[in-house]
Amino acid sequence: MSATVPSLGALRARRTALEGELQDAESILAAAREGLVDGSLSAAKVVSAQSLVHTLQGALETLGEKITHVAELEAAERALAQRRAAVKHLATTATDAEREQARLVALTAKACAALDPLFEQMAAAVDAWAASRETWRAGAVSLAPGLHQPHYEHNTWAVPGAAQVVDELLAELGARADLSAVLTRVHALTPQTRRDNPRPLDLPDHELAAAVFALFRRYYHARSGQNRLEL
Amino acid sequence: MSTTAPLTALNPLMLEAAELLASGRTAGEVKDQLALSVATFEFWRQDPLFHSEVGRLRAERKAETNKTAETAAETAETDALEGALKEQFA
Repeated sequence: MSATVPSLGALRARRTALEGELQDAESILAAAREGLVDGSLSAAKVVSAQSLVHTLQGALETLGEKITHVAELEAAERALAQRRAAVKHLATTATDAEREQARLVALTAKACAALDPLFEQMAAAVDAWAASRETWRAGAVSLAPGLHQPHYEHNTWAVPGAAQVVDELLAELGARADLSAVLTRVHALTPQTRRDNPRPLDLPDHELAAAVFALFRRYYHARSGQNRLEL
Repeated sequence: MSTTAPLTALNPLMLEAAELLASGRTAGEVKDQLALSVATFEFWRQDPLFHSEVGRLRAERKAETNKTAETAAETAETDALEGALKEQFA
């Protein structure tokens, strides 16, 4: 026997019908109980009505599970179709601009995956540092050369050991060009930066470090809500 | 159930029994779950209408399983293509 997956519409229509039957059965059960009290109906009628109510409740439960399952199947199929279309488009007919955008998204995802654990380490360091007024009073250690230049002053986090984390970050990411591309995108998110510096970044070390820490600030502030770096 | 005439329609209890059988429950499990007597349940199982409903529901389940497998295969194919593109980009 060949069959297809039942349609959601048909299943939902059946559920509506079953719900109607259940309401009727519950009314019959209530009437049977009243009849039992006043002696006009036998206990067998109540048992029979009760049994029908149970059956219909069971059928509704089974149908509900089926509807959920079919809805999940359909949703997965729709999502997959969209994804397939997007990937095929990218592989075949995408414009250069679309491919560049996709490349940036892929780079960003890669960078974020590398940044997350490192930024979490840095955040823990900041937490520990902030928790200790004594450490704070002892004087903040500068991050990396150049971070205290006026232009980057507002992005500076004075965290002991942070420069090493930046080194680790760069080692983790490997390709400097990739990170620059990601940071270009981060900068592009800031209206002022977009206006002042629309060209792709080719950052010297200290500026790269500053940009990483600007990124970390965003991560740190977003940490309480959503502990992920989203560019 | 005293009659031996073929069923002309399935009531909710029969439909539920058919669903449970199609879902892979054993006859004993269905009988116990729905509190059916052996005689009643055997009568249903031998009835062409009930038998056909179980077959239809089993076919539907098979179609669902096939669809799930098909979606999984297409997802793997898409993952591979997307992975290759990402490698190319990043």
